[in-house]
Amino acid sequence: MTSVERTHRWRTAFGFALFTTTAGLYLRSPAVFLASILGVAYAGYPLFVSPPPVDVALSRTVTDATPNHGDNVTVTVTITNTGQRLLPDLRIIDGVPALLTVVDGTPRHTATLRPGASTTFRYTVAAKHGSHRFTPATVIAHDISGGTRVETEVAAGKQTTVREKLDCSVDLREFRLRQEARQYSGQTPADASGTGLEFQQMRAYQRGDPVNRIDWKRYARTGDLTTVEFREEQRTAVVLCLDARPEAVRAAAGTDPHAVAYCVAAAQKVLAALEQQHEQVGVAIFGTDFDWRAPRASQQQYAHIDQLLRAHEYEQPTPVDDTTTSAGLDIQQLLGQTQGALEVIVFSPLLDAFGETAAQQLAARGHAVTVISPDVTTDRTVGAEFVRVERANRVQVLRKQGVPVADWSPEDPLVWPVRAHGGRA
Amino acid sequence: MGESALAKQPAYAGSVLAVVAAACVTGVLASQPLQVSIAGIEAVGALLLLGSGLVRRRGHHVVGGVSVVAGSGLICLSLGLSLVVPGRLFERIVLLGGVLAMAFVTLSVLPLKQSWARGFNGIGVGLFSCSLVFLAWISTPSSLQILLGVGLTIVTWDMARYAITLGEDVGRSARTYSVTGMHFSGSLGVGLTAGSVAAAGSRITLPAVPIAALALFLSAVLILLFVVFLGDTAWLSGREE
Repeated sequence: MTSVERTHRWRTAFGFALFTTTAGLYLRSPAVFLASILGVAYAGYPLFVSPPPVDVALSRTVTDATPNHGDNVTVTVTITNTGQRLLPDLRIIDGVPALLTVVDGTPRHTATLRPGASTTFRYTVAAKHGSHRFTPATVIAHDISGGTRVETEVAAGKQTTVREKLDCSVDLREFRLRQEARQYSGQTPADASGTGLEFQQMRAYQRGDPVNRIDWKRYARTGDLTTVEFREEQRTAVVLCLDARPEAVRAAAGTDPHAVAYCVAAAQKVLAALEQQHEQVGVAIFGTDFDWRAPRASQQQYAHIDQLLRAHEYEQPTPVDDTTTSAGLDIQQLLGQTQGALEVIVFSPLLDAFGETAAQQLAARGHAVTVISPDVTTDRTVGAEFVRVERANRVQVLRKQGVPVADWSPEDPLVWPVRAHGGRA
Repeated sequence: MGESALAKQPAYAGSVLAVVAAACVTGVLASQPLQVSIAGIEAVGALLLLGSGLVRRRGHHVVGGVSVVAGSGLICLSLGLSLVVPGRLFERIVLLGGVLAMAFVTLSVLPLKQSWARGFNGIGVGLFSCSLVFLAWISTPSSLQILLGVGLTIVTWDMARYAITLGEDVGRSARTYSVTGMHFSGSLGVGLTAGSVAAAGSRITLPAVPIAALALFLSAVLILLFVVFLGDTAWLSGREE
């Protein structure tokens, strides 16, 4: 969208002209009186220059489109004047992703561009977990007098060679679901043994075992009846449960991404893993509203969930007083939606009782719950230290109750907690 | 986040040009070589203050701190000297007005408080204007001196204002030399053209044209320009804001 605005900055020249005219007349000073010509000339100055047409093309490249967390990425932006007129005063503000910190240089630049000329500037950002989208660059052009200001955004349609995204995905390790108690076949390895294809173990025959699972060769050799068990590969219904309430939008420092951004980054990585395995995935997001989507396995479903997660990615910290939702009510809403055995992965910073309560209530309903909790606490103040201790207590309580919790420091890889805590809880 | 943390302080290039123009106006107001030296001392102090920010941004905090102290000291010294400098009382008042005005212009382009910047600039330029008129009242300065004073006062105001608005858009860390140079050359060109016309006009003697008629003519031009300006505003043209 382009806006053209008169700045009226030279109206002040009227004041000069009136002041010198009056003073010249009063003092009978021709020199002072004649000086008012200067005021008149400056007052009329912007009327003799026309607004600059902003026809520019933007090019943006990055040194690494898929950096690791903490890496420095240099962004190079080039603006070219594609119009036919000189742009005497061009100001460019690049659309740095909201959660990235500029560590060197500046994403703001100025230039005077002849037709066809280009200007290039660079700045460096520190990569953080998540998929970070550059917003359109804001281009402001003034005429030479500064009397007219034209502001526009170099949108996707006008952009050329523009790097739109910086993907700094979470390093997810040892991802494994907890339970696969569904009747559908799938690709997710289960801890339970059954009727899959991959060999799991041999055991003594039990009454009722299928005849085709008996190891007849062994029976011929030894006379013992044994049953072969295979690793079952079943389709799992998983619900990604995101704590995106205003209370969770907290950051360790002003320049760091907040906890919800980390939760979203982790959830997106898990979603991608589940999508590869064609699992049924649903989502429950506790934000300013409660968003629910029942588990399904389709490309449309995965895309919709990704979109829902992204919608909570860039929320800025909100005062706690602004909270309008009731946490207890939300959990009841989720419990009302979840029918049958589900795998629920709760993404919460555990900065208050919400994530803990949700995990406990879901576990009490028989769902297999795993908690992924990014640690954004600090020990800089007494209050912050208190929050840190409280969070550590919540992690301990959940683990004691058999809920696997990944106490994830965003600087480190996210190691899935299931195996680390003894498989099935 | 880091992006939003960028300081939106007056741009360096425009600030330096504003201070230099202000120093020139103070020089125009000075009636003795000693007074011109005082204006020079203040200009050095103002430039040291401006440079301190640049030096500190490059990591030389001690040098930056020394620059702040030295710059402030020189400005205070010039203010004190303008009070005790030998000369007539009215001349000292004119110089004091100029020195004070320059201090305010310097304050307007320093990263003190964004909301004060325009106010300081207005006070500085107002003081310059009053000092020039006072100079014309107490003495008989040449037309060139007054034209130069008024022209440079307008350029001072323009460059300080430009530095402030440019800083609000792109911050202090962006390179602004080329756009500032372009804007400055435009403003200077208009000033030189209008000043030349005025200087030529001052040499023409038209005894048949009374000064009241000239005043009316100038007022008519001003009213015309003002109406043209008002035509741009939404409320007059009936458009929605």
